[in-house]
Amino acid sequence: MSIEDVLNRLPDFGSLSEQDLQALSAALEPRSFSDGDRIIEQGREGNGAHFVVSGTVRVELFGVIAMIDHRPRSASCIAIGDVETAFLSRQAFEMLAHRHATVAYPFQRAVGAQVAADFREVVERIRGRLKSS
Amino acid sequence: MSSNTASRAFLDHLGDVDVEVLLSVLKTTTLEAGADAITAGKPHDSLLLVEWGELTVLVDEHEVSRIGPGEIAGEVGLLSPGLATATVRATQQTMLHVLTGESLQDLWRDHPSIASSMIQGATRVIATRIRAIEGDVDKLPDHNQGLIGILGRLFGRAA
Repeated sequence: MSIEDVLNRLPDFGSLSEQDLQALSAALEPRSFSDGDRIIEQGREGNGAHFVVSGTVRVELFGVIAMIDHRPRSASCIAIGDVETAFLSRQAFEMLAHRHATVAYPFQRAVGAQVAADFREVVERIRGRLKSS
Repeated sequence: MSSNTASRAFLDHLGDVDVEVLLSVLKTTTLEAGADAITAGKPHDSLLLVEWGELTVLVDEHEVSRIGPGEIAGEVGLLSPGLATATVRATQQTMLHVLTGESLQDLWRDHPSIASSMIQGATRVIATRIRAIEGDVDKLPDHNQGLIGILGRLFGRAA
């Protein structure tokens, strides 16, 4: 599967023009990982984002918050089996967003949705404990 | 509707947003005391901005926060529409500006930079809330008082 196929399957990216998709694809760097590799290391500064092209990644809670507040990552992402990703560095993203402003919005929606999902998960975890205590 | 209002407390965090344009797409509503703006377990997709009055936030009937003029609620539903995690109820007559998921799409079509700023602002608020309890999640206390305290920080006031 190509990265263009991956992006087209993501709901927030489906509205991008062909030109924007090509510009985004050109800014991405292919990366390969083996089973057990830490794709993102806890405690490291967040310097970009990975799109999973193939394989499975175990993502712990709070995986994307480092992209927002520029503080160290508070979770690790670990490859389960062979994993191929497309990496977008923060620098490449900022250049892309400057030249193709419409590209930035789907990213912002996707990151916002993930952070909101993390929030829901935390609330449910605490609610579960409240009911049992 | 004037932009010289308490609601600017959140809006001022959004940088160069044209507040007049934003307020023109927000729906305004007034709740009576005891009315729910958001009901836990019900579908929800809107950001609420308090103009005046006060809201209380309830998780399983435990009060975890109060929200006053210039503060927001409902940002989780705006970014990820779904079933509400908490009930948000007026403690007194309260005026709200509401940005629905549908009006956000209209904003993106007509004023993309404002829509972008709203998404980023709401995301930052949630990220800040989660960071506030980051160290607590993997070692939750066994007693309700401690758990409600963590919920209080998670839902804590955010302009």
